[in-house]
Amino acid sequence: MFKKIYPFIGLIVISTLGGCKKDFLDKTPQAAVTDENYYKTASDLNSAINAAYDPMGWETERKGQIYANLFFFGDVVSDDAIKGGSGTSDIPDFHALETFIGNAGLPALLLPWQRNYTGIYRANLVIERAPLSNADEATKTRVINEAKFLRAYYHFEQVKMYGDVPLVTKVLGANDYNLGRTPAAEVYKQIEADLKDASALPQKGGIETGRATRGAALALLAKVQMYQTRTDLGKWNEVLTNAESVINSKIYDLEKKYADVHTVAKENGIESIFEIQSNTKVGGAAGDNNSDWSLGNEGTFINVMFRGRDNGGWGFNCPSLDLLEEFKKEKTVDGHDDPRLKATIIQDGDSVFNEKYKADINSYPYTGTYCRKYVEPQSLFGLNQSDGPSNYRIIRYADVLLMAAEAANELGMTEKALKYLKEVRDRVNMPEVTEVNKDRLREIIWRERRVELALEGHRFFDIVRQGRAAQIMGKTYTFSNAQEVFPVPQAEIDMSKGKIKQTTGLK
Amino acid sequence: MRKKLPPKISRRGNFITSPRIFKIALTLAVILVGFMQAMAQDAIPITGRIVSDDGESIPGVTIAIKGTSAGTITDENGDFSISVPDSNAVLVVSYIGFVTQEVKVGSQTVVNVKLPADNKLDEVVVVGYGTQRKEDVTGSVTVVKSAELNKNVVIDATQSIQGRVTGVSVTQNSGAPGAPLSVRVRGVGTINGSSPFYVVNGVPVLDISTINSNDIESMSILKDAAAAAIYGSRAANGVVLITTKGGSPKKTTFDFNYLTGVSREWKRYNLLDAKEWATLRNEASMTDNGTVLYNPDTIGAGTDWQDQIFRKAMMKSYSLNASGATDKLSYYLGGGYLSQEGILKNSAYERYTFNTKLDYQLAKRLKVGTFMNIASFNRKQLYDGDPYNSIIANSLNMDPITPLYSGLGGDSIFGSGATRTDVPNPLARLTYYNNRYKGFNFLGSWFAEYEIIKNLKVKTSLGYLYNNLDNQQFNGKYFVSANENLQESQVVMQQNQNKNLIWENSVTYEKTVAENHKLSGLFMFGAQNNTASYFRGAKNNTFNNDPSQWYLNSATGTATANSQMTEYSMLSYLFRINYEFKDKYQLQVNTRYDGTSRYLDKNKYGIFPSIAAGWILSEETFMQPIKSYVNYFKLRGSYGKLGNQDNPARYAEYPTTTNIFSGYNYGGFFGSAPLGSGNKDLKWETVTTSNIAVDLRFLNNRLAFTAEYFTKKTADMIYRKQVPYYAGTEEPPFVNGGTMLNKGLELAADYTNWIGKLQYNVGVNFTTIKNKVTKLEDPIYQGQFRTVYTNITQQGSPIAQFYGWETNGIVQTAEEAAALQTAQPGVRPGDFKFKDLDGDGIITDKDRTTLGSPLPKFTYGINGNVAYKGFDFSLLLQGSYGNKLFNGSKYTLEGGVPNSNFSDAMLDRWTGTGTSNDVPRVSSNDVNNNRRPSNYYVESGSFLRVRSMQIGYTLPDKLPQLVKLQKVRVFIMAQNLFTFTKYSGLDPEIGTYTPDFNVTSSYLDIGVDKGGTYPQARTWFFGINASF
Repeated sequence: MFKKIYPFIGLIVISTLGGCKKDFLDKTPQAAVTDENYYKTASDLNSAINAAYDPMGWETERKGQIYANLFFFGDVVSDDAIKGGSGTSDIPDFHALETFIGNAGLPALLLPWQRNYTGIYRANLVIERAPLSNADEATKTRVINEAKFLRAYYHFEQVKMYGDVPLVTKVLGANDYNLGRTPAAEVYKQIEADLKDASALPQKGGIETGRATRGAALALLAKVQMYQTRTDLGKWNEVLTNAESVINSKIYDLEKKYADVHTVAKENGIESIFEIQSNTKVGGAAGDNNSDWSLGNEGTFINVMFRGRDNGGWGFNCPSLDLLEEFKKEKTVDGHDDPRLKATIIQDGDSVFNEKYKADINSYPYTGTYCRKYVEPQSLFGLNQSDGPSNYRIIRYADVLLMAAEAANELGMTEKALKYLKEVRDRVNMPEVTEVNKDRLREIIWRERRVELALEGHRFFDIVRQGRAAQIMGKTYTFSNAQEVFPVPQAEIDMSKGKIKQTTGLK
Repeated sequence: MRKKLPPKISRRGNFITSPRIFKIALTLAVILVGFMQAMAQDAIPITGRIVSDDGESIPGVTIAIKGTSAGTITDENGDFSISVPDSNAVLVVSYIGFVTQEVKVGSQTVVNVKLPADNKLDEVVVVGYGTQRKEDVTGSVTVVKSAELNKNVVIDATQSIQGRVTGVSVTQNSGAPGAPLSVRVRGVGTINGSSPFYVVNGVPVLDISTINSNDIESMSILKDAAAAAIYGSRAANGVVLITTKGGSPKKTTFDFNYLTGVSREWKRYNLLDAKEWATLRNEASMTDNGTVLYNPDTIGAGTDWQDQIFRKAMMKSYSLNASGATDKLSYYLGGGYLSQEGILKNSAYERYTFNTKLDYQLAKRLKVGTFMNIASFNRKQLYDGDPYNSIIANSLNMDPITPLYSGLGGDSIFGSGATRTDVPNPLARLTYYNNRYKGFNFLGSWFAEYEIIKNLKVKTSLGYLYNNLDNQQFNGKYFVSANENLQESQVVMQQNQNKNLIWENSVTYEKTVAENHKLSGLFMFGAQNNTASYFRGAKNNTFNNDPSQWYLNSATGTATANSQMTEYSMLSYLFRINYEFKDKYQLQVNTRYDGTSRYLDKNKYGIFPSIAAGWILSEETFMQPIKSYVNYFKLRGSYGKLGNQDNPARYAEYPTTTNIFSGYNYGGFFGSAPLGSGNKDLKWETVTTSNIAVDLRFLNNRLAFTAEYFTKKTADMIYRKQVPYYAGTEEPPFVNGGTMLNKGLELAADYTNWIGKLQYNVGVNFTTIKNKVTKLEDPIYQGQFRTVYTNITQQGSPIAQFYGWETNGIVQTAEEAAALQTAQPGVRPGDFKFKDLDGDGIITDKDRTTLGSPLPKFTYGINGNVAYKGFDFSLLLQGSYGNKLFNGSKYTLEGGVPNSNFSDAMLDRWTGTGTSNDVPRVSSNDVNNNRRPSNYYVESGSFLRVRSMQIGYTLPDKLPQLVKLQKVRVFIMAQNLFTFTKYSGLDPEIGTYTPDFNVTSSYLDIGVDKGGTYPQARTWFFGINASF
C-alpha cells in the first residue's frame, strides 16, 4: 500500500512547491513603510513635514556621547561663557573650540553638519514629493512652505557655522555625490528665496503652535539679511523692512517680565517668534535609559546642562566674568542692577527656587557662575533629568526690535532706532538712550544685544557679523580671522575625494 | 580513557562478505563450539589473551561485558581476567585500529581472541542530510562525541568545541550565567556577524544553549564547502550539526548525572584604596589649580567596590535519562535541571530541559520517528559589556571614598558618588535595576521514511522551532542623591517570538555495482518559513518596588507599546552523489539551489555547488611495503561555493524604508522620514573555499595526524557604504562590495598508548589563519570607544586593526613642554608625547595609524586523558598566541583623570622629571588628552588557559552492583583553573561586544576590552555519573 502512496505524495509535494513558489518567496515588509507607498496622502505629508522639524532639536548623535547644542557654538565659543562641566575634558571638543585650538576632526563639528543636512534632506523630500501626492491643495501648499522655511533655517545654520557650504536643493541620488562648497553669497540667495516663499505661511495663530509662520519667516529673513550686511550694506534696507513687517503685524509683543521669557510657562508666548519644541511626553519608552535622541524631538538636555553641579545639574555654559561686568556697567533708572543680570547669571552663593548654587570642587571654570536661563524648579525639572521640558528659543520679539533698531541706525533713521531700543530697555527699567551719533549708537545697540540676548546662542555669530571677532576673542586667545567660521568636518572632506576643501587657514 | 568506548554503530552489511573477516569469524566460531560443553555458573572467572593477526599480543584492549558497563583492559602481555555473571554473557573486545569482536562466553573459562586489524575505522560521522563512514569523508568535518562533551561542558554544548577543534575558535563573550559564546569557523569570514549555522537533528536553530549537553550524542562541525555546501546560502560561516542521543538496541538503561560547583572570579583589578586615591586626587588638583582637597591620613581605606559586587556563586545540575529499544521501537527520554548563580550579585541562570527521541518501525519498510526538545529558562541579567553602565564598570569607576551607605538611614540609603555624580553606586544599581528573562523553547521534528525497494528510501520530515522570550525590566523607585534617583519606578515587558517551520523531503539511493563501484545519491527539496516578532509595553509608577508589582497593570503612568514582525521564507533543492571505487578512490559532488525571500528579483536564487575527492593511498599496492609504518594515508581535497544570506538589516533591500517614529507631533502626526536609502540590488555574500588535506596514521593506528590547508574567499561582502553627509540620509545604504580572504593551516594529532595498565591519550591541535581584506572601497572605522574609533578595517590589511595615535614617551621637563605647545597645545610635563606621523607640526586625527591586530597568529589546544584501573584524568588546555587587545579599562583606571578610581599601576605614574616614561601624570583636566586611543592601551593578548581538568573514579563493579547500579563514577572538575597571560585586564578572552545578549554584533571592533564585561569565573565541580 505504502509503496504506491509515497511516490504519489512526493509528486504532490513537488507540484505544490512549484506552484506556490512565486508567492512563497515574496514577503511584504511588515511594520515598515516603503518609500514607494509613501507621500501619498495629507496625513503622509503632515508626518513628513513634522520629521523635517525634528533635526533642529538634535543635541547629541545617536549614541548620546557627543553633544553639540546650539549654545556651545553661540555662547561657549564667544566671550560670554566658559564651557563648564566637571573639567576641561568633560565634553572636551568645546574646550578645544572655546580656546580656538579645535580642528576639523572634532566629532562635535560633524554633528551640526549632519543635523542641518538631514533637515535639508527631509525638507527637500517634502518639496519634491508633495506636489505628486493626492493631498488637498491647502495641505500641499502649507507643507511646502514650511519645508522651505526649514530648508532656509538649516542652510542658514550651515552658512553661519562653516561659511561656504554645499547648497542642496533637491533629494540627492547616487550620481549627485559630487558637490563642492557653494559660495556663501549664493547660499544666502537661496535662503532668502526660500524664506520669501515661506512668508506666505499663515501668521501665528492661523497655524498650529510650534510650526513655522509668516512672522517666523520674516524675522528669520531679517536676520539672514543682517548677517549679509558685513559685505553688503544695502541689505540694511531689507532688514528694516522685514523686521518692521513683523513689528507692524502687532502679533508679537514683549513679555511683561524679562525673567519670564525663558520659562516653560511662557513657551510659544507673546514674545516668541520661533522656538525648538521639546516634548518630554513622546519618544523613549519608560525604562529606556538612553532614549534615542535623533529619533524624535523629545525633551532637551539644556535643563540639566545649565543647572549647578551641586544641584543635580551638569553646570555647562557658565557665564564669564566679562559678561557679568557688562551687566554691571549700567543701572536701572532707580539705581538698581539691571534685572536682566539675575535673570541671566546665577552667581556663587545665589539661591534659585530655594536651592543654593555654589562652586563645586569638581567643576570648570570654578567660578560658581551658572546660566540662569532655562533653569526650572525641581518640580518641572523632570523625572528623567536629561529629558528636560524647555523649548529652545530661536527668535524672539526683542531680537527683532534690536534688529530693527540696528538697521534704522545704519540707515540714518536715528529716531526710529532710539524708539525700538527704548521699547526693549523700558521693560527692564533701563534709562532711555539719547545718543544720536551713528557710530556711538551702534556700539550701544550692540551692547544692548549682548545683555538682552545673553546666553541664547547668538553672541559668537553676532560679533563675527559685526566684524569684531578678532578684536574681542583675540584679547584672550590666539585667534585668526579664518576662525570666524568653524572648520568643515574632516569626515566630509575625506569623503568628497577632493571636491570639498578646508577653509583656508583652518585645520 | 579508551576503556569505555562509546557504543559503536553497527557496520554496513557489505563487510560480512569480506573474506578475511569471514575467515576470522569462522575461526572464532570453532573456538566457541569447542568450549560450549562447559556449564555456566554464577560469576564465572574468565581469563584470556588478545592477539593480533600476526600473533602479537595487544595490551590495552578493552574487554567489556555486553549490555553492562563492566569491563577491563589487557595488560602489557595482552592478558586479561574478568568475571562474568553467567554463561550467556558476551564479551565485547575492542581496540582502536582493530575490528571489534563479540565472543559469547558459554562454558569457556579461557577466552583467547585474535583481533583482526581494521584499516577502515568504522566510526560514523554525521554529515549534512545523512551519515558517512569517517573513512569516506572527503570534506572537512570535525566531530565531537558525547564522551568529550562531558569533559568541559556545563551549560552550553558549544563549550565542547573550545580548544578541541582545529579552525574553530570559541570565545566566551561574557562570564554572565547563560551568556552566549561566539563561534568562528575558519576565521572571520565577513565583516558582518560570522556565526555558524546550527542544525539540531535536521532543524535549524539560533543557538544550542537550550539543549542539555547530556542529551547530545555528537556534534559535527562542517568547515569547508564540500561538507557545508549542502546547506547552501546559510553555510558560509560553517555549520554545526548536533545529533541528540537515541535508544540503543539493548535493555533499558538509566543514566543519572549530578554536578555541583562553586565559582569565584579568578582575577580582580588591584584598585587604589581611599588613602591612595585621595593622595592622587590632591596631586591632580594641586597641579591644575593649587588646591588640596582631602587629608589622606584621616580618610581610611574607604570602600572596596569589587568586594561589594562579587560573591561566591553556587551551581548545581541534575539530569536523568532513560534509553532502550525493543525490536521495533527505540527511545530516549531525558530531563535536566540546572541552576547557576553568577559571581556578580543579582545574576543567575536556571534551565529545565526535556528531550525525547523515538524511532518506530511501523511496517516492514516504513519507519517513523520524532524528536522533541523542550527547554525553559530564567535568567537574571545585569548591565554588561559597556564601559559606562555595566556593573563592573561602575565598581571600577566609583571612587573609594564614597561610602557604601550614606549613614543616614542605616542600610537603606546608599552612599552617593563623592566625586563623580554620574557614576552610580554599584550596589544601588544592582538592587534597583532588574532585568529578567524567561525563555521557552520548543524544538521538534517528525519524520517518516519508506524503503521503496532495497536501498531506495524516501523520507519526509517536518521540523518546528518555537522560541519565546519574555523580558521583564523593572527599575525601582529610589533615592540616593539629587543626581542618583528615580522618582517613578519603570516597568518594561517585552515578548519576543521566533518561529521556524521547515519541511524537507528526500530520496536516497545506495548501490554497489560490480563489487568495486559504490554509489549513493541524495535528492532533497524543502521549504521553510521563519517569523520573528516582538511586543513591548512600558509604563511608569508602580505601587511599590516589590517583585509582585513588576507588571504593567501595577503601574499608573502612561503606557507605550510597540510591536514588530519580520518574516522570511526559503525554498531549496539539493542533490548529492557519492562515488567510491575499490574503497580507495572517492568522489563527492553536491549542489544546492536556494531561493530566499530576503532579497529581491534575480537575487532571490543562488546555486551552491561543491566537489570533493579522496584517495586512500595506503590501500594501493605500492604502499603495502610500508604499511606497517604508515597504517593509513589519505589525501583529500575539495572546492565549492557557499552563501551567507543573513542580512544585517531588516528590509535593507527596499529602496527606502520609512520608519514611523515619535518626533514633532503637530496635529497628532508623528514625524516620519526615510532613515536610509535601500538597495534593491542587495544580494547575499558568497564564499568560495578550497581545502587540501592529508590524513595519516602510524604506530598501529595509535598516532593519527591530520593536516588541512584551506583558502576561503568571501565576495560581495555586505557593508554600509558611506555617502556624503550633505546627502542627509542618516543611515548609509548597505551594498555588496569588498572581498576578504582567509588562508589557514590546521594541524591535529592524536596519540594513544599505554604503560602497563595505564592508558593515555594526547590530542594536540594547532590553527593558523591569515585574514586579509582584499577589496574595500572606503575604510570602515568601528569601535566607538568614548567617542573615538579604535578599529579600522581597510583594503590590504586584516580586519579590525587597532587604530589610534602612537605615544612617544612622556614629556619630562618644562622646556620640553614649551617646545611642544604648537603640536600639543596645553601639554605639560608628565603628559604623553604623541608622534606627528604626517609631519605637519600638530597632532591631529591624521596622525593616527594602525596599532596591532586583534587576530591571533595561531591558536592551539592540547587535551590529555589518562586512565588507570578505575581512575581517569583529563586535561584541556587552550591558547591563543600573537593577538593584541585594546585594554579599554585603562581609560579610567590608568588614564590619570581622577574622577574615577585608579588601578595600582597609577602608583608608578609620572611625578617629576625622570620618574616615568610610560604612565602619565594625574590631571583632572587632561588638556593633552592623554587618554585618546593610542598604543598605551594595546597589549599582548596571548594566553594559555587550563580550560578544564577532571579527575574521575569509577567504582569497582561489585560496589555499584550491591545497590543495583551498573556503574558509578565520581569526579571533580575545575574550569578556568589557571590562565597564563601578560594581559593586565580582567580576562584576555574578549568576545564580541554584546551588551544585549540578543544582538549579534559585528567583528569590526573585535579585541576591544571595553572594561565592562562580566568576568569569567574559576569553578570547582563535583559530579556523579551513575547508570542502572
